[in-house]
Amino acid sequence: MAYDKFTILRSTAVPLPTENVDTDQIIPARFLKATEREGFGDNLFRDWRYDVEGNPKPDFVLNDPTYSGKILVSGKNFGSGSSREHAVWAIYDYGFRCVVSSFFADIFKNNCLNIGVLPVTVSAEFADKLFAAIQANPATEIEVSLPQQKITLLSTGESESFDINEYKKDNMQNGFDDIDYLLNMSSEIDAFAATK
Amino acid sequence: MDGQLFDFVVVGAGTNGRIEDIGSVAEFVKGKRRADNITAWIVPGSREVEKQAHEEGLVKILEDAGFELRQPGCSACLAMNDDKIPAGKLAVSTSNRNFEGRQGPGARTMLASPLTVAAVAVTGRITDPREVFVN
Repeated sequence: MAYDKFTILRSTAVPLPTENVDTDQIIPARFLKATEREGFGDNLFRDWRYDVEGNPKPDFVLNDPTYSGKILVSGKNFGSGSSREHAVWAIYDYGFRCVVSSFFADIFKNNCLNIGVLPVTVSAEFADKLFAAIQANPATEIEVSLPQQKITLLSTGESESFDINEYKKDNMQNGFDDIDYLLNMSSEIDAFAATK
Repeated sequence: MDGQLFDFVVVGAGTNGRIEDIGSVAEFVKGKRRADNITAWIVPGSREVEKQAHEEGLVKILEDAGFELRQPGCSACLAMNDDKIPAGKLAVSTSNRNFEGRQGPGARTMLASPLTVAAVAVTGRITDPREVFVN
């Protein structure tokens, strides 16, 4: 399913320095029964974000109006647990387009690349710099350039390059998942099929 | 953990929900009874396993021991259906993930083999199965 094209994202960021954030925290299983992708953002980090009565927990970062933005900066080993795509749908639906961490669980990372959330792996040192800068000044902006594969802390100009599979990079810049990529070549596929 | 009292035991769902797993638990609890503090659930991994467990008399043995047969499928592995561990309760489960809230908000999970879970069902507390099932 097509999503918004990703090229250069410049945004403030939300810091979540917790390590080992698993998919059960990102979106608890009891919310997985929906058949549409929309709406999962309401339950993103549900049990950290709301108490059992559904009241926002004031000390959780998504309930802190100080922080906002399209980039989530998280602690090491983000997205471990189950293979549920809903975890990425929830992050996208909430409004994040990029997650930054010093390590991603592999299946989660690949789900991100199919759904339009850019996973940016940085060094632990750079992640610490981002956390410190955001917490010191929540208006701090970060620029993520997919064409250049570079993430920059705009307040200091410090940057780091990141890796991404070339095919997935092209797809993200076009807003394509794997199916969109194939459908985009349908005229060539039809032309080839006609020769058989 | 040794001797820790538990509230729920869960055998099966996806991981360790094969007919062999249900059979080994049935063999070990045959003629015994779950402890009074324990709610014991047995969850076949599929309809086919459920059918086979009935045909082989395993369900009868387990129900006689105080186990409750639940719907085959994901069950209390991830608390999507009614099989949720209540907040504050302790479960020992043969599933393979024990993330915070995985078996229900506020529930606590310990992961163990089917035989250890069978032992906890009988004694009500964390127990080495070799101490319960000697022979």
